[in-house]
Parts: sequence; structure tokens; C-alpha cells
Amino acid sequence: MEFTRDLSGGTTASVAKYQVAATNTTIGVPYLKNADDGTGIVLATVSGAVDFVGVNLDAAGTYVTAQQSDNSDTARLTTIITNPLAVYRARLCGGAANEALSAATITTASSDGLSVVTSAFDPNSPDLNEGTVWGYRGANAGKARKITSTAANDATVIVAFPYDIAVGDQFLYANVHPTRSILAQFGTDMTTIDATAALSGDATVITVELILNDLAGNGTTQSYALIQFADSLFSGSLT
Amino acid sequence: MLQIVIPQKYTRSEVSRAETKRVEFKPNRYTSGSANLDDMIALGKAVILCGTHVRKFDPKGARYRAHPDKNLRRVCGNCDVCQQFGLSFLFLNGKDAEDEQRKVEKFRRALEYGRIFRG
Repeated sequence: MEFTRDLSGGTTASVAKYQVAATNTTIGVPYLKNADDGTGIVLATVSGAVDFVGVNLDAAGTYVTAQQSDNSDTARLTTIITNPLAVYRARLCGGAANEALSAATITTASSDGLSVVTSAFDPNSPDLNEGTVWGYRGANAGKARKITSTAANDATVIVAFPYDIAVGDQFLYANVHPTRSILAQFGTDMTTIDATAALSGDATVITVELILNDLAGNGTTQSYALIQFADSLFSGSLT
Repeated sequence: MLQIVIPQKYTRSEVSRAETKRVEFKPNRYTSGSANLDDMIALGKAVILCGTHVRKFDPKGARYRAHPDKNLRRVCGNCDVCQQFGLSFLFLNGKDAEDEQRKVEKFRRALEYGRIFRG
């Protein structure tokens, strides 16, 4: 994930170099505070972003604790963006390994534009209720709505899609929706959001907005969530 | 008695500048400020430089580039030479900068063709 802006209205990142307690060769990974008896900041987990410190701008390298034979410094530093109100962009992925989102094809038409029914995709397993569904191909391409209930093969919305949903149209789904907060669900490399993981309420990651693409914009690999980490260590409140 | 007169070729301001230059801190490998920068470059870390020290830094020579994201070219942080905090310039090593450039371009395309959705 990458820094996009600060919710206070600015675009300037505040950065600092911190000692780490974990090996990391990836840029754009969230870090959490130094643990009890720890030696430095640690990597977030795929579903944990409590006591968030920031996202790194360079790789820390291999974490070592023993004195080195060449007497090189054993401290491993990484440059961290520390803005507590930073908004980061994270690509929406169709799985933990950064797979593309998979478009689900409509198998039952909906003349009121309220039901997205597919035979090959179950939006209730994992449950994407309270998430987002948007048109990928067809008359509703590019139009997005909040999912308000799910059933096997069926996602229902309250605000209707502007056009009838026809058999053969395709839709994409994600477990995030703007202004909703979710339990962090990152891909295993921690730079993306696994949009297919079950959505569970939590307050660690807030969706600020979504950048959604349809077929013309390669929506399966080019859709993003702009997120804020609500439990920032530097937010000025005890957590 | 013979008096040798040396012509004064320098103006008062030039003399003043030379004196200032003579006493100013000159970083090198064995002083903490410069050693820190050398270490950062040797390890391929992001480099943060204040307005004064960025003028003395040769990114191309060090195989570094300004951060490709325009929002991250100038950041608030401690200069890796003088450690002063303030609005500074951010540089990445060449490989990291290329990777970040790809991410920036990909997002730019996504933003250009996509729709911003706020529910």
C-alpha cells in the first residue's frame, strides 16, 4: 500500500526511521508498535492492525540480533510514514496471494436492479454483506452499490442499479465499503486488501473511498480501496 | 628595511566568505553526519535530505532517485546529514524507485479510468 494523502487536508508525509524487530524485504507494509520485551516495531498481520505505527518506504532487510563478524551495525532501520491521519491506497485482490478479483456472471435477470444473482459465486460464503458490488460488464458497468444482504448466489442492494441486471452481465464484489470499518484483511504480502475475506466488524481499518474500475479499466486488477488505520499509535489517544 | 607588499586581490566580502568556509563543518566518512548518509546509501535505504544538503547530493552518482510519487518527493523528517527536522527531500535507491514508479503509474491509470466511490 502507498501513501495517498493526509485526512487533515495536506499531502505531506511525516517520516522517521525506526528500528525493526522483523525481517522485511517488501515496501508498503504496515508496522505495529514495539511489543513488550520487543526490540523494535513489528509487521502487522493479515488481520491485525492494532497499535499501528505506519507504512514503510524502504525495506528493513534481515533482522539480526547477534554481533556481526565484520562489526557492522546490527540495528535494522526502516523509514516509516507516521501521519496518524494518513490515507493509504491498497489494491483490492481476489485472494490472499494478490490474485485478480474474479467477475461473477449474472444467471438470473433482475428487472428492478436490486438483486445480483450468479450461479458460480456465493457472496454469503465468505459473507460480503455490508461490502460493495459494482458492475464490471453490461449496462451497469462502473456503477457501485452497498450490499445490504446476502444469500447463496445472491447479493441484494437497497438503492437499485440504474439499469436492469441482465443475464450475462458481470459484477465484482469487495468486502469493503466507504465509511465502514473492518477488521484488517490484507493479502499475505501485506500490501493489498483481500477483498474476498469474510467481512467482520472492527475498527482498525476504515475505508475512506474506493476507486472502482469496470472491464474497460481492467477492474479485476485495477480497483483500489483508500483506507485509514484507525488505531494509530500517534493519534494522541491512549489505546 | 625592505618591506614586501602583497597586493590584496580579495574584497572584504570574499575574505568573509572564505573565513566562513574555513570554519564550517565539513562532513566526511569519519564524521557522524556523513557516515550516516553513507551507511544509508550502502544499505539502500531511503535518504532524507534538507534543502542545504540536497544541493550537495548527487542522486545519479549514488544510483538514487527522487521518490516517483509527487506527494512523497518532499516529506517532513530528519535530514540524514545534519539531523535537522523539517521539510526535506526524499530519495529512494534506483531499484526501489523503479518498483514505486510502476505502482504510481498503475494507480494513475486506475484513477483515470475508474470511478471514485464513497457510497
